[in-house]
Amino acid sequence: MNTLRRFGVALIMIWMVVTLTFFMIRLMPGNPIFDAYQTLLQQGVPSQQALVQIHILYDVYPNQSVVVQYLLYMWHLLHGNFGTSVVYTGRPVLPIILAAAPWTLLLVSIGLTISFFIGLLLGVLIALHRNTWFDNLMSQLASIFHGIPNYITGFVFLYFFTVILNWFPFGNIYNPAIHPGFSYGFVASVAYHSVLPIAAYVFGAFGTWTLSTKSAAMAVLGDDFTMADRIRGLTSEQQLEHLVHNSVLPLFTGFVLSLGIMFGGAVFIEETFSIPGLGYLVATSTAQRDYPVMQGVFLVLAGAVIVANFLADTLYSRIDPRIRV
Amino acid sequence: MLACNDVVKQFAIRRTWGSRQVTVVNRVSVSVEASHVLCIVGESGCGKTTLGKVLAGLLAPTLGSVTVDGTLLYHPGNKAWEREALKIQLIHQDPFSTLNPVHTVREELSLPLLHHQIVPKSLVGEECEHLLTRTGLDPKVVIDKYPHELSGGQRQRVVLARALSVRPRYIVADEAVSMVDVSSRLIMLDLFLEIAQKERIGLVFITHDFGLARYVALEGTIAVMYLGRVVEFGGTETVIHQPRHPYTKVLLSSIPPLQAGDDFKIDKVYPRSFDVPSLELLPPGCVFEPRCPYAFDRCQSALPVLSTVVHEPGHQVACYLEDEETAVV
Ligand SMILES: Nc1ncnc2c1ncn2[C@@H]1O[C@H](COP(=O)(O)OP(=O)(O)OP(=O)(O)O)[C@@H](O)[C@H]1O
Ligand SMILES: [Mg+2]
Repeated sequence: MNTLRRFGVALIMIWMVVTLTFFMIRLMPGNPIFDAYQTLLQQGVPSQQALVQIHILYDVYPNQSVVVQYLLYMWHLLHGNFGTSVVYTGRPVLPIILAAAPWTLLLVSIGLTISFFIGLLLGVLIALHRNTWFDNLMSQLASIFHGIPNYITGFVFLYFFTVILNWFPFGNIYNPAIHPGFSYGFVASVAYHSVLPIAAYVFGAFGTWTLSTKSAAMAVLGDDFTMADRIRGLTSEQQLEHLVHNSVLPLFTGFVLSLGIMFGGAVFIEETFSIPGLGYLVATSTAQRDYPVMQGVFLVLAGAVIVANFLADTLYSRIDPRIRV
Repeated sequence: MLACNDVVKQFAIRRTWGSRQVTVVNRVSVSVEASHVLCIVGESGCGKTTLGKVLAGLLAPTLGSVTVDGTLLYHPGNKAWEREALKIQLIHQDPFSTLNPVHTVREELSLPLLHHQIVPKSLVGEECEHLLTRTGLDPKVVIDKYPHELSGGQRQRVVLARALSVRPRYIVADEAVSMVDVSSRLIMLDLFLEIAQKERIGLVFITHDFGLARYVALEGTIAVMYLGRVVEFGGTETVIHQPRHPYTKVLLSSIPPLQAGDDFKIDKVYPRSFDVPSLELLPPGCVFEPRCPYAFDRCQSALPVLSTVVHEPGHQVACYLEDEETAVV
């Protein structure tokens, strides 16, 4: 029942996001359709004919009221129609987004997972070696990396490893000379191109996970049940297993939420490394005022956060017995 | 016998400039035999929990030794003592944080049974149920529950069952009933005593409440601690009816009488001050001197040692008044 309610809330949130982005985008200065209309008028095309031309080109009537546009948009959206791009004339938005999403998903899920496990490992080690040089050093490092935004890390990596050392390729996510498909060459090329952006993610995120794991693990170590394990003569492996299990629980929600949020965080890294993912699409479509694409991408990004939130809530009650809903 | 000999426990406390040592337990020697009860009584912060952990094999003493049935604990280079330390189980004050929130009662109980192969694998389930029954719980009701689904009293029983699962010879119960509802405290205490008696378990009962101590250790011994030291030690009856140390008298005076003509009548003694000195800045002489209503000049110069009261074997006090009295007699 609760799951159902949460699902309903998630749907309503998505609707709100759709509506808000629709109107916000139209409040932004610069309007390619209006510009095109003006250009046609200046070229001496009669206004009636210009409108028809614009409609053929962009599938919109520039003088239509915003409310009507909104209703039309919603109607189309409900039928899975995200509209067509106004920059790449005639290309439907959905395939554009579907082509970009896998790259973002790939980078975010791998980057997040790696950083999470590095953070978990370091956090537990720090908690176990409290007040030693290891704790001091690693805690400092984690705080520093926690503070550096990932586009800076990305930029430094890019410059150092491609420009100076020339170890990794610059830009794109695979070698355009290779035909995309499930061939060894293609997968290898993608892997090669992903190393730097994933490394940039990991460096941007592991500090946060380290610090949260550390505080969670220290709380667990301070709990008496850790002592109870010891006094019953359980091995250090068993004690460690309990420590990790209990420390991971409070991090789980954050992990799933990050999955959603990092779709958006991909903007900077994807721009830095010119990866044709969702973040890149956000940047380019915004620069070009490609309304339908912008709308579509924002919807997907916000949707990812909302879905992640829903998943986090629903799954957490399954892995932590203390939460029963 | 579980005994500690001249145990000192120091902690380093961090200060802005470096760190300094505080002595939390200072030259304490106490012991308890199988099926006997030893109560450790003292105000908050006097080092009871620390002493309990040292006795239970959890915290190595800075100086001194702990032995259980002749085996030396904390033996550097010989890990075998850890196996022996299983004989001593600690029951902690807070039944909320001492159970792992993500384990069911069954998991909690069966883990050590499996690990130490206390019973054959096929009998583990049965043993869990048996342990719960022994502590007065209905296995069917509680065995698959998580700690948060249990009441405080139920949890404390699970904690007791868990301690019993490794078949201990000694139990150190640190304020074991202070978090239990007052209404079920007595029942819990009786359960402790009954099980200890039946299994011939030696019980170290740590409490700040003289009333409880008196109930639990009726035939046992009481050690009164003050700022890390034992200031008086003796049979329960003796300590309660003929207290010698002013601090013991102060503690006894603070028990509210349950009814008129309650069976022990001592002259009420009140301390000169209610401030307990900091462990970091102890007085040069007797640690109780700043609060003692009977203090005289000698008390300020040197610390009295724990020594047997004249004509009362087994009754020890660390107070100069004893010398004065014997001198007068
Ligand atoms: N790990 C530690 N590091 C530094 N100081 C400690 C540590 N553990 C205990 N202490 C100090 O030792 C003193 C005695 O602590 P302990 O917990 O043994 O007292 P207690 O008699 O059990 O008190 P209570 O009745 O409040 O439980 C306290 O002043 C405490 O601050
Ligand atoms: Mg204590």
